[in-house]
Amino acid sequence: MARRRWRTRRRHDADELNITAFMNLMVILVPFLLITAVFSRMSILELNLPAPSAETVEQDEPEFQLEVVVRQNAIEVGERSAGLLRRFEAEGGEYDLDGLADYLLDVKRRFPEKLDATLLLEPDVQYELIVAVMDRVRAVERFDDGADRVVTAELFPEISIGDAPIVAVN
Amino acid sequence: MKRHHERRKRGAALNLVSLMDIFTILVFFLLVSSGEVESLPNPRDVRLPESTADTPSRETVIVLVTADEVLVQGQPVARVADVLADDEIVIPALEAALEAQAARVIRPEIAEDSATREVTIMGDKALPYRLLKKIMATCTEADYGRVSLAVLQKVSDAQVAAVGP
Repeated sequence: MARRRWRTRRRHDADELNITAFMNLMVILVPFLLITAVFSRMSILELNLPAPSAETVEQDEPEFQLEVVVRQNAIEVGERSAGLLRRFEAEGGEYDLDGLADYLLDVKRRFPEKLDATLLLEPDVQYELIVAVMDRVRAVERFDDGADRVVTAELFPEISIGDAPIVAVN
Repeated sequence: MKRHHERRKRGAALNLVSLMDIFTILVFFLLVSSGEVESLPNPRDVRLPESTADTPSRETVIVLVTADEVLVQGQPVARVADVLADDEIVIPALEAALEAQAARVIRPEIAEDSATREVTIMGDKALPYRLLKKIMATCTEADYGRVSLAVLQKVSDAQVAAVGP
């Protein structure tokens, strides 16, 4: 009998739970957190810039120096001493970035130890395109059917930036 | 009649259970997502380029380049039109502002070593390289050894293809 009375009393209490204070807290917290919430994540691209005082070191052995030149009408992949390796024409302002990624993967296969690349740009190239090209030079992402997931392959993550050589007008 | 009244009085207690559920879940979700500290400001008038880079941002000096102004830590230092009109590669006003930021560093041993001094450039995606080059040259001139570009993280095409069909 006593037990039964206790039970009914407890149920009665549960009905009367005072949640007003909790509700107040929630009503304040939710808008506050919504305002401060960040929905777009930002990240950074690290550059490999030389210090202004750094002297150019003459190398005894000519090393393979990959250069990607971004021009108004094309993207050129070259080597510092050997010259142009491949040229990707931009048709109607559309750059062939996928072609560039494929070719750079090919270069990486030939020079697996190579980590740095130089990005040479014309003065009027847009920042957006610079970042897009840097993405392609930095790493390549491929869907691997065997593993059934996206694999990221590092290409040339140490990117330096410089001015594009001026083309001689024929 | 009396009984009817009593029933109405009891019914006045709103059923808040589902609302409470939603609020509780929302609060926990937002608390967790706000736990990731974002060290970069969220500028309204700068459209950052998108990239697949996933290096998290660090607490650094920020150079914000909008379509018409250059700001260091939120303080306007130069106008983009003036910078582009000038043939000089280094922007004197920006260099002075960066030097002043370096002088404000609490630990002087960091300020001495240029290799550890960092700057993040947040630029609008429509900026020409000509302007970016001047800003980067000024940063290295002001002894900032590490320059980074702020980008919006995007999901790469390969990942989209993997999730898609």
